[in-house]
Amino acid sequence: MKKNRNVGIVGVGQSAFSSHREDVNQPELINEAVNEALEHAGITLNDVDCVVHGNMELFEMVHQPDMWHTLGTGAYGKETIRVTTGGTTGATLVCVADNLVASGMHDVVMAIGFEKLQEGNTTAGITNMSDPLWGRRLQTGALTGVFAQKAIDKYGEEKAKKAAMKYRIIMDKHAMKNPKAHRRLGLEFDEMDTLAENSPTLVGDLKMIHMCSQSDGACVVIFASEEKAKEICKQPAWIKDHITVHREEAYCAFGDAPHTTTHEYAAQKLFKRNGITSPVDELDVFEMYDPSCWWGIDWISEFMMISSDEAMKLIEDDEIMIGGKIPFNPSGGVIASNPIGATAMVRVAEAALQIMGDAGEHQVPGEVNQALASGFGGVMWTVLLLLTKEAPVWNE
Amino acid sequence: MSSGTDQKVTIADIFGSMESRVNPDGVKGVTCNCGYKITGEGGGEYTVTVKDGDVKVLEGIHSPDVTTTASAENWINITLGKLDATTAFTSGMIKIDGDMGVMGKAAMFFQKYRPPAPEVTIQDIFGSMESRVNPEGVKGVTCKCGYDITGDGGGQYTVSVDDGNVKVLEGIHEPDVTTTSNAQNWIDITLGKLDATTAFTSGMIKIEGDMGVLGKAAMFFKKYIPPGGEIEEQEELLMLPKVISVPQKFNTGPKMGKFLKGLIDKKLYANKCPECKRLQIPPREVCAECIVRADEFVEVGPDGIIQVLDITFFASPDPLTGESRETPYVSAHILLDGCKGHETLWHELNPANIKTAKKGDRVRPVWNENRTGSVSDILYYELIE
Repeated sequence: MKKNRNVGIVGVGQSAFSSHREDVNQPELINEAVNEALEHAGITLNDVDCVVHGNMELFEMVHQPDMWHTLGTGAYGKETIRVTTGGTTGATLVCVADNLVASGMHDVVMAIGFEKLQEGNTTAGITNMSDPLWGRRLQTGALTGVFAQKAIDKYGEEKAKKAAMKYRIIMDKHAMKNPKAHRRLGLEFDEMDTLAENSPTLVGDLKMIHMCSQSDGACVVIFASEEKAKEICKQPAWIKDHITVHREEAYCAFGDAPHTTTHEYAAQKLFKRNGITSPVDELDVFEMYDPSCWWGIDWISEFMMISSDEAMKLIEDDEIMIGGKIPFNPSGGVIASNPIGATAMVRVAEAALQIMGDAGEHQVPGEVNQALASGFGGVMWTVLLLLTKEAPVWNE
Repeated sequence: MSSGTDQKVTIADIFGSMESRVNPDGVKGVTCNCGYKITGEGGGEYTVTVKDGDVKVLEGIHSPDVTTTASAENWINITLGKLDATTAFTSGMIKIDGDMGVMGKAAMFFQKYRPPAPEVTIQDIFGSMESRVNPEGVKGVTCKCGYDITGDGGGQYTVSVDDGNVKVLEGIHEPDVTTTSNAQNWIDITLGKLDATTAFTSGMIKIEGDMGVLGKAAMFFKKYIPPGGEIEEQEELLMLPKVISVPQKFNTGPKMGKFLKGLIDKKLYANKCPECKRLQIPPREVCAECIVRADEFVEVGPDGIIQVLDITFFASPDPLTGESRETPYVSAHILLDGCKGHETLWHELNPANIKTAKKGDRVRPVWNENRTGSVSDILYYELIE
């Protein structure tokens, strides 16, 4: 693994995330994030060489939305690439921008992820991703109770449900520190039981309180070559490595087939080639794509390469909270805000803000030298990215 | 539409105004009863009954399909858009019992609620004038302006300015100029809803006497603020509703084609990998693990056992029809006789079996009378008693 040249994140912008953005249309929403990112980087549109744009087109059903959005993105007269890879879109945008800069093709690239979920229908859109010959009538959108059942089978009902709600409330406590977050409910740990009881059931043991929001929002990240990044930015967040893993076995993905998950595979491979043996000890923060708290508690062990008992203990001991051993989602995560085409990019953007020291009230204490960010999408895809505070050094 | 007028918004008004706010497109063809238990001070119980598009709002709860429980304060905030309904629902601030699918439709029943405008009276406009004097505007001015406000809520007033000293008197007292208007027009002019010049030009208000004095009078007072605060007319941003409906056809290919054709004869075919020997159902051209062609077909099932159950209670639209699905419905993975491990078939389970069905139970397919070679040839699987 060797990069042609280093790439640093030099600017991050996010619109406010909300289910009520009737005040703006799509280009206007994107423009909020573009302006914030340019301001954060301290550059102007003239400094940007290329714009990469992406979202889930089945949600708003707009073909080539990048054309409509030009006045909001500022892509006029620039090279533009559109990327759409489902839920992982935002993370794939980062990979593409990284490759464009690392290759030497462009010095400064702006990546834009957006979604206006209120303008379409998420469940209908996601259902259309299913195989049209058999699965489309059977697909239950993005909702499944299988992961809740899996945790309940593994830990017993009481322990599993408690861990899920603990995780949920931790995410809300983090979201309360993030003014951009969509759902900031002000939940308290002692409300755990009543919250779960009063919340309506979606699928099986998956309740509405467990599930992510449907948000409108846009995220923009600006990437620069090492030389430019050091010129523009006091502390860039360097992109050390990233890996994308897909699994072809769509039919059995929701069955009970025993297999290495794409998360496990991605984590093992990425950590091995970067010399990381104990992720919990060596990483300083993890922005994880967690569509519900049931998936969240299941995936801690997969990404951190630990046993599920150790993962449960991290939750119980508040080690995944800001101030803990390995804070998960100081931003509040996907459960708090989920503008899908932007969501995976927000993970990277937030990890970068932590390294840059610009996360504001949800900045984790202490030095952030290595940060991890994940993207997740259907059917069972993973993009995993490693960011560092020090510019990577490549040995021949 | 306004701020600071919330004390005027009542649960009684929200429900009382519903029949006048019906959205004909939203209730078209709908028949259901939605109950509302609004608790706490100012609460009440209501039922919105929709019968094939005909809407009545009744007091009390009457055989509802779905019942929403919320405090009066939360319900007012949701109605005014200050509290996000999903957030309130998610966090248990409102409770919904019954058919969630109905609730999804209910969001379209009515047009937006507009809180009653604060009561603006002629008495208040003139009564508040002395407290609204603009010292710059009356400096050095001496004059008397009469106002004859006609109609319901009207009255006669004289604004007397004596070298900057302002008094508002009831009745008309030796005016230099007299303005005549009906009460509603004068209120609208005062609130800026009606342009005074337009009103004068079009004869809605009449002016007799020294017009020059009236020119000065426009500067006498600061802006009138109605009781309960300023009315801010926000521009209503439009949302354009669109529905996409696209007929599609997909080629099945030889492997899937054979499988689908088998369904017409009530037969289920899997194909077998020549290397790892595993079965794929529905079949695919190659074994996804070994990446070799899998041409041998094996008849399996049609009965089997439940391997995975996913019971959905959330009403989501069926992308094939655009209609909300009936809930609950069950997505199931079934291990057909002759299959092993995770060689499961993905289909649905009869919702009537939800309460008793569990992993490992034996099930059989219920076949559609009219089979066309599609997933719908099996209506669903059901428990074998």
